[in-house]
Amino acid sequence: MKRLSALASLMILAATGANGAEYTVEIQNLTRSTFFTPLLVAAHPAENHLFAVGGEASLPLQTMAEGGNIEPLVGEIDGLSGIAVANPAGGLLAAGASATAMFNNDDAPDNNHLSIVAMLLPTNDGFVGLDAMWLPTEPGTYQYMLKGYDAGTEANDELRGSGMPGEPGMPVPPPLDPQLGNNGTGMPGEAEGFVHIHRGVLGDTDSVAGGSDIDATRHRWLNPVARVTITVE
Amino acid sequence: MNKQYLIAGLCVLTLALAGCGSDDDDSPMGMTPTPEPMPEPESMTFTYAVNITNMTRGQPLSPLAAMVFDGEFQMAKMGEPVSVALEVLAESGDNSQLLDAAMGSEHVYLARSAEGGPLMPGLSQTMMLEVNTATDSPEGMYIGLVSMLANTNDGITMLSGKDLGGLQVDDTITFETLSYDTGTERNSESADTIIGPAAAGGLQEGFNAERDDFVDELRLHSGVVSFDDGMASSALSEAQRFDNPVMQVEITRMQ
Repeated sequence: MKRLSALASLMILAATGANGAEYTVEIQNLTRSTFFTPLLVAAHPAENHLFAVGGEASLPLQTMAEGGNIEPLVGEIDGLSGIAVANPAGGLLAAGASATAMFNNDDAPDNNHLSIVAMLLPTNDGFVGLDAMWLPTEPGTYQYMLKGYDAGTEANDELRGSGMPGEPGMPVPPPLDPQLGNNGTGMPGEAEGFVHIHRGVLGDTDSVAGGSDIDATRHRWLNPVARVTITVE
Repeated sequence: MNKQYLIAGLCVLTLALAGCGSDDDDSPMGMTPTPEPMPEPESMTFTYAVNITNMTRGQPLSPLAAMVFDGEFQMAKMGEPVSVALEVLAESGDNSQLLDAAMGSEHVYLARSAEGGPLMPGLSQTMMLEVNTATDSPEGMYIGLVSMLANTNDGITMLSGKDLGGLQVDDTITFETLSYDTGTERNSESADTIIGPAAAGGLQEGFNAERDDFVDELRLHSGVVSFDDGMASSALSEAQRFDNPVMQVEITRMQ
């Protein structure tokens, strides 16, 4: 019994030892028809978080969630001496598609937690997220499912509009444009004030009028929204 | 022969830990060794800090029912009718019957409710669970949590029998819980049948013994429809809609 627990402690020691590794992080968009804007894949110390459920979104998180701009978050990670892999998909990641980020934390083994974010489009301030998950160090392949969150910073009016933080509406990059309706009058609701699991978009089935510019038959989703496959070498 | 061998074997085992008594009458020093008393089984306290966060936009969580039990206790099972005690919790948020029933089981170490009222969306709370066991190596150490999604007819979230046996002091384990429909009440979403604040102005009935859902079984919840999604008779707005997971659970062993 004693020997068993000693062995277990040794294994835990080995697992938490300050050894870096080579990581390949593949992110697949599992939704039916929702884009991911440029992804941010970041390795950083355990105590850092890009977001926290129940907490108020930071301005960099809001900037990402409302318009897909990850530059302020990249700046935060750089400021922490973390590892930021910005935009591994080279633009929008379409539904069904995958992107791969690679990094090595041999030189900075304290960067042993993984965060991932990208805006969900079409939404007002929805994002796919992974918050500070401990990175496995044993060589192997690991899979995780990610959820959709609402940053709580903007009313979900579901209308074409702006991607700037604090401005209403959704940014509409060219690939999304033909999928959206026009002339919506706006869905009810207000900025919620805290990060939470996204309750999904409503949309409507009227492409030239109605309350929403989102297509209810196409753009709804249920969690999970992404699959992450981590390969440790 | 066999018996002697067994005794010798036991003696060797004991020797490694505490020395082995001898029944040799002419032992040196003339001491008559007294048989070592069997050590009393040591009681032990396991203390867990259970931190929960409401991950939803608009579903208050009723006071959490927390239970710690050995491997024999059975929580509600998918695809089966739920107990009346769980029906009461799922329709009214009152967890007292469920906790009483659990405390009546010899397999339950502890069953208690979180203090205070409902846990509002986005908020967190921590509950300390102090489990006293008769031995320092109890048969099993499992945790179960249940809470109502207050702005539903009979929706709950549940953490069902997670093993804490391997959790060392200061270790933390994290879960995210799903939403379930207990199947005990039709999902009318009307202000007369939902107890939560979204139904203010209606009768807000809690428990009703009638089981009028289309299936009297525990299943995963399909979500609420809401007035904003076209259900004219619904007391719920788009803000009460939800997707999984609905509750985050962090359990830290303190002692």
